[in-house]
Amino acid sequence: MIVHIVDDNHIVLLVVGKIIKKTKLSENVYSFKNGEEALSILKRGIKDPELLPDVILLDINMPIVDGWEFLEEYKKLKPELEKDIEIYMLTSSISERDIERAAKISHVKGYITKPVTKDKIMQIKKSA
Amino acid sequence: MDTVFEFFRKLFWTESWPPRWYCGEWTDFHGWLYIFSNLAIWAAYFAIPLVMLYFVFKRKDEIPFIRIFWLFILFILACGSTHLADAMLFYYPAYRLSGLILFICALVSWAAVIGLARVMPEAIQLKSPVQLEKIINKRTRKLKELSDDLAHQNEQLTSFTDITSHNLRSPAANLVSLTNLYEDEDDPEKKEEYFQLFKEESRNMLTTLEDLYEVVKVKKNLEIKREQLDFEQVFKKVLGNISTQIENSDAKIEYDFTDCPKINYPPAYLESIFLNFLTNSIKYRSPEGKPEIFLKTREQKNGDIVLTCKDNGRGIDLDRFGEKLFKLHQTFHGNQDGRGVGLYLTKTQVESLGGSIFAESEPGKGAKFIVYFNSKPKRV
Repeated sequence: MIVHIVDDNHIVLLVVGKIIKKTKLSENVYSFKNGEEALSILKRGIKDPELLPDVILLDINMPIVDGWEFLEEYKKLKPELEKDIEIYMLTSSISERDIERAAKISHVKGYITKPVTKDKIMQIKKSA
Repeated sequence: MDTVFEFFRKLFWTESWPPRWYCGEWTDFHGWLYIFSNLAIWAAYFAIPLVMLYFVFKRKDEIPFIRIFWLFILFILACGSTHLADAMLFYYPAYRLSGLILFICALVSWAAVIGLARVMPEAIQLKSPVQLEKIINKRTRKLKELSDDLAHQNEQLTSFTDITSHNLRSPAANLVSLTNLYEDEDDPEKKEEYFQLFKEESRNMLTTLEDLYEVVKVKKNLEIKREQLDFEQVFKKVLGNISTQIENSDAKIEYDFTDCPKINYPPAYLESIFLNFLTNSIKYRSPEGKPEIFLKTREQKNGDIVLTCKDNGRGIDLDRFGEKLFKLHQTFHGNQDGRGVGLYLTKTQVESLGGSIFAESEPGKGAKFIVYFNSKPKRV
């Protein structure tokens, strides 16, 4: 299983990466500093499906392309992608507005609030 | 007293006078002109109250000065009666009755005069529909302004809730995660690494708290003291504060404050505006060539003071980032130094004093920031 973490904070990338390895969710974890970087690999994945992740953990507040903008772009890319990717929001925002907004987007599978714990990652593992 | 009593006793007597046809010399034409005109006036004077009554009953809402209205109806009826009596005298010379009708008409007429005089001051104050519409429009505009203001404040409050929800939760969550990792880890080297990160993140959190405090201070401090300031003097002070940064970047900074050299403004805010413009222009300078920054002030015809700051830096894609440009903790260049506080703070300061700030830019073509110190012109 391939996991992409998209977050501009290097501590989050490190912590989540460690937890994913500890929970044995995946050995292939890749980090992206913003939505733009994460999108570019998906675009390459159109021709090269092996690059595509199974799970994307997506932060909301990021520079250049934020989580919402990433999801807008993803919607356009989705028909061309061979893999069915599960996207989880991974954010420190506990605002109702963000939670509801994520719930309305059909290809967002879940909403995980930081701090990320083993239990939260295990949930992903169970539903995967 | 006897004559008055006799007057009423003989009110309908006609013996004392000949009918008017036989009094003096009337031609048919003259007499009938007289009779017809009087009857026509009488008919009209009785028709007018009917029309007025119709108006009163049809218009169920409150009619201003309704008592004057009734008095007028009586007045017109009384006037009409005198004309009927005048016509009647040609055949039925009851001059006493005619006299009484004239007297009643005189009383009612004067009652109308007095009544009118008494309501006159109030009537002058009465607003015409056009005036009322103007007043309503003016109040509607004021209400709209007020509701826009409230909406703006509400928006700020929401964005502030988001800020605390995200910007404070984010480092706090990291601290929790790092302590968990630290506890689970046995390798001393790894433990040390987590500890260093913990230190770094707690410092970040403190900075964020300080940033938020600055913002809250501006929002709270609506009655901050203004002072007569010299643009050049304040600008030179700011240049002095960041002289190292300017020297290191080899920036060329020029200004022209001659059009409008002075402003009445809080010194801390003006310094912060200059500081943010300068540091932004240097931070986001073009990779090719030295940064060039030009600042200018001018006074508009309406008395508003405008400051522009133009640079030759990387510029901003306003189509993509325009909405977020002045928001807190939004950075656009993936620049690690950028905390996304400066422009948010500048905007908060300028707006708290009734001004506004705009940006004009294209990627690669530099940026221009414009501050209107005292007005909110609409811009696209």
